[in-house]
Amino acid sequence: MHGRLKVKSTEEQIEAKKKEREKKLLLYNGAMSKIFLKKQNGELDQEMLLLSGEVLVVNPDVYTLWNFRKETFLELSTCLPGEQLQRLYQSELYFLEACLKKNPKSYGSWHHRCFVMDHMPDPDWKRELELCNQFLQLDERNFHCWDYRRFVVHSAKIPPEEEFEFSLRLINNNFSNYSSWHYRSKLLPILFPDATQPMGVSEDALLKEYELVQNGFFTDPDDQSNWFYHRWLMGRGNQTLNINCFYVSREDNCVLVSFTKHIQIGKKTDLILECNEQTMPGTVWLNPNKTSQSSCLWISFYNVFVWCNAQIVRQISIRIIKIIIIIIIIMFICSKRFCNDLNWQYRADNLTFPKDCDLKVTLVQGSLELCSSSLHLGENDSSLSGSSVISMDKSIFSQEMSPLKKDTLLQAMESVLQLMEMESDNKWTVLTVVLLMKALDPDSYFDQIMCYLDKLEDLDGKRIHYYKDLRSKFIIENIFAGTELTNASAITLSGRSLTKMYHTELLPLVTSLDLCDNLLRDVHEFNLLQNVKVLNLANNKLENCEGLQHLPKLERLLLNGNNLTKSSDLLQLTTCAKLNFLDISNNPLSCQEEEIQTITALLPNVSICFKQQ
Amino acid sequence: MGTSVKDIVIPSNAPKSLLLLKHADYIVSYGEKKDDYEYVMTEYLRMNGMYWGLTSLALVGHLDKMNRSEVIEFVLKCQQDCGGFSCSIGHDPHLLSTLSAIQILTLYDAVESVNTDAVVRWIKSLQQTDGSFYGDKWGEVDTRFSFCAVACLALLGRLDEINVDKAVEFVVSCMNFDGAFGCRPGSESHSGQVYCCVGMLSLAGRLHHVNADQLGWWLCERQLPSGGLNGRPEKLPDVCYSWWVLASLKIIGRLHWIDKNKLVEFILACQDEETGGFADRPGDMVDPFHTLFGLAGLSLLGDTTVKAVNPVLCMPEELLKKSKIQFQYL
Ligand SMILES: [Zn+2]
Repeated sequence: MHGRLKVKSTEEQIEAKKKEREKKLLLYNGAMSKIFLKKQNGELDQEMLLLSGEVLVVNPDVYTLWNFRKETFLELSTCLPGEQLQRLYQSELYFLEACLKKNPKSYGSWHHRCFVMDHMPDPDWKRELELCNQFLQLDERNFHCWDYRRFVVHSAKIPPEEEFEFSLRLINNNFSNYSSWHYRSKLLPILFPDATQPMGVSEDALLKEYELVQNGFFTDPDDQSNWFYHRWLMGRGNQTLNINCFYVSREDNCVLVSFTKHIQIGKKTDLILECNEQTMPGTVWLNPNKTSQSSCLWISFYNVFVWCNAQIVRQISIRIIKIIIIIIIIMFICSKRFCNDLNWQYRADNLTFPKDCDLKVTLVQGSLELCSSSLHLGENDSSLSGSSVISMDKSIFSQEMSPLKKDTLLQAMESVLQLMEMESDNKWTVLTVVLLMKALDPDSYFDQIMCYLDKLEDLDGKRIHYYKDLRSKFIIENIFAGTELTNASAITLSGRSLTKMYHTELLPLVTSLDLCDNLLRDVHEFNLLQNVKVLNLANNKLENCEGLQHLPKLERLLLNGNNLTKSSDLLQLTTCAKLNFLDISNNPLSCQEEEIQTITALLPNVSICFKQQ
Repeated sequence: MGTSVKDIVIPSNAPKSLLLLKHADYIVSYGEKKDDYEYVMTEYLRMNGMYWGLTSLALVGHLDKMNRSEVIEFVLKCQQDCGGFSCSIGHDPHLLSTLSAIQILTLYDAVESVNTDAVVRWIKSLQQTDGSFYGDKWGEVDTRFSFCAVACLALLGRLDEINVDKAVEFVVSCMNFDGAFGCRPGSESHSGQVYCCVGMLSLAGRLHHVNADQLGWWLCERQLPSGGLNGRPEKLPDVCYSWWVLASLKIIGRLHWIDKNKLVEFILACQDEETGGFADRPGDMVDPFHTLFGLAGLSLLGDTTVKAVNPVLCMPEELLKKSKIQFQYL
């Protein structure tokens, strides 16, 4: 189906081709019916190999015929002596080689070769590696062959050092070889492990790779293989799991725990809440969407039943409490499917936490403690937060860069700047400089980074929105790095041409967020803003409210001057119980009488501004 | 000594508008030439081919042009004793043809006419201890099969029958240094594989495993100066990738990172004005596979003359709205 040019041919040519195809068709149909008949009769013999071979060499994608051959081989191996069987398998390898030469990208042929090698009495793995070398010489990007090579390397226990050398040979031959760079990214952690490094690769090895790839992009600055690998080398790997913020509110009777990574509480992982070293029973953790799917924010809920009866429960003996808890658990399991619909609110009830207490949350997996956070809630504290990460570590924002030492980064930047001078229109050099500056000192390079991002938008118009989102991310990170997010109740990010909001996971405590006069297209993950009361999203480019659901404290929401076109775009707001003011003036929907009526009915307790006064 | 970027040039006389009706005609006539060399030689893809053709017709609003009962009868004849479906009558069952079969039956609201318990049991039997899926009993492992298995079960409303956690774990183990995915652990990234993995994670509700900015960057760098998208770095553009890359970008919320107008131009240029249908590149031979992905791509890019397509299952959105399938999007 690929790469078949449509050619204009003469009547004669068409006629000749038709005749030839008719002949082929006859042969094909004849062979196929014979094969299927034999299969039906259970004749799994050498003739089956012969007949199916005739079809497969022309059309190796007829997977059923490869299956028939496998069945035949399994059948024959029960009756043929070892030597003969070995010869038969050997000839199958020759046959496969012929098929692969005609069609080197057939899944069926390559998988059948694995089958043969796994089943033949005396497989010659060295020869297979040689075959891979041959095929990769013909096409160094053939991923079927690369996958087969990995199979051979694994089965023949070829040392990774040799494979590392092999990939180097290919790269020295041609830097533009994404497959080889990819292979090296898999071999490095095996050959040069270093658990202390974020990517699990020793710094020395990374530096050597860095030199190699630098040769690559100096040789061919337009080849993206080098640049993708380079960006990976400069990366910091994965973020480690920790607690971003642990928040307890007496007035709301709730606990919020925000993590640096997404987790799922329930199956294997559990979040344990302790009060004065006693585990608090009946705690149910849900994410802001009120489900138990993965999230970086988890909120404690107590079963409604416990709440209503908390006072009575206290007077009843422990034994009954235990029974009740069991009932509650059963009730919870039964009611789980309704969680989405039930708009549970935090209960205003001050029975949960004692007057003065030590609170601790611990994330556990089996008996393993993954991370924990604790705080002391005094009698007069209405709410309190303890955080381990948020305000302390600016480097959480440079997580994409880099474990390497600062002077290495500086050196890297110098050489890329040098290249940029020679190749002033090369976007890869500009982007790399931006990323290096961000890693080195995002604050003092800020203006330069913004200039280079402008340049990238000019140089690479196709990906203009990628650069705009990247810019938004950098701006937000710079502001957040300079803010004490634990204490900040109001955050202003208005009028900064932001096209995308990042890091709402760091704002579970913010009560007022001003994002007006930006270019936001969506509000995904805004429901991590569990304490937000006032949200100003006026004059953006929003087309729906997906992400604004279940904001328990949201009172004022400004959505004027966006691209909301229909009442159903506001559906999520029905789950924000405290919402009392909504501005949706200057949206396409706000001049349609029908939509206005629907919205008024949808949000009966909200005072809605449809037209600007 | 820089190598020039691999790309094509769109001929100036290439089509610039959507030939909607021609495509419907192309698909219908393709299905009528059952004795054609071309048709016979692609028998190993029949079930997939029917899904491509029928979905194309559904997207242009002409599903009624095919004979419903004839199609369903064929699909039923392809269900084997084990529960799986083969590509054609007499062939062996495979996950690839099984997903197409279930998709066809869903298009026709006829899932109940097959033994769904048997399908589910068979799919379950293909899951391995590491979470991966065999394509059939012969043991080939590929993240494409993880997608097929999960998509089938989601369409049947039986996703909880397999070990979803393990299935997710395997797919995540196929993630690479560039944030994209390959066939198996260690395999190089490929857009087709990215689509399967991202689609699978969407159905499983585990898209948080994806680094959307990193993967999105790799995906949007698939766009070449001609506007077309390739499947891997330094490869030629192709209409089918306009689907795989685009759908993946849509699922991870980064569709706006490519130049939509240029891509629309490229896809339209791959139409055949004489016969209808789309080819992989301008001037090549058309086929039902690229026809579906051309139309579906245009739909994702906002062409409203084509019906809205679901980015995870590549089926008409209005049809899936009626189902209870949960799709996660970033
Ligand atoms: Zn293609």
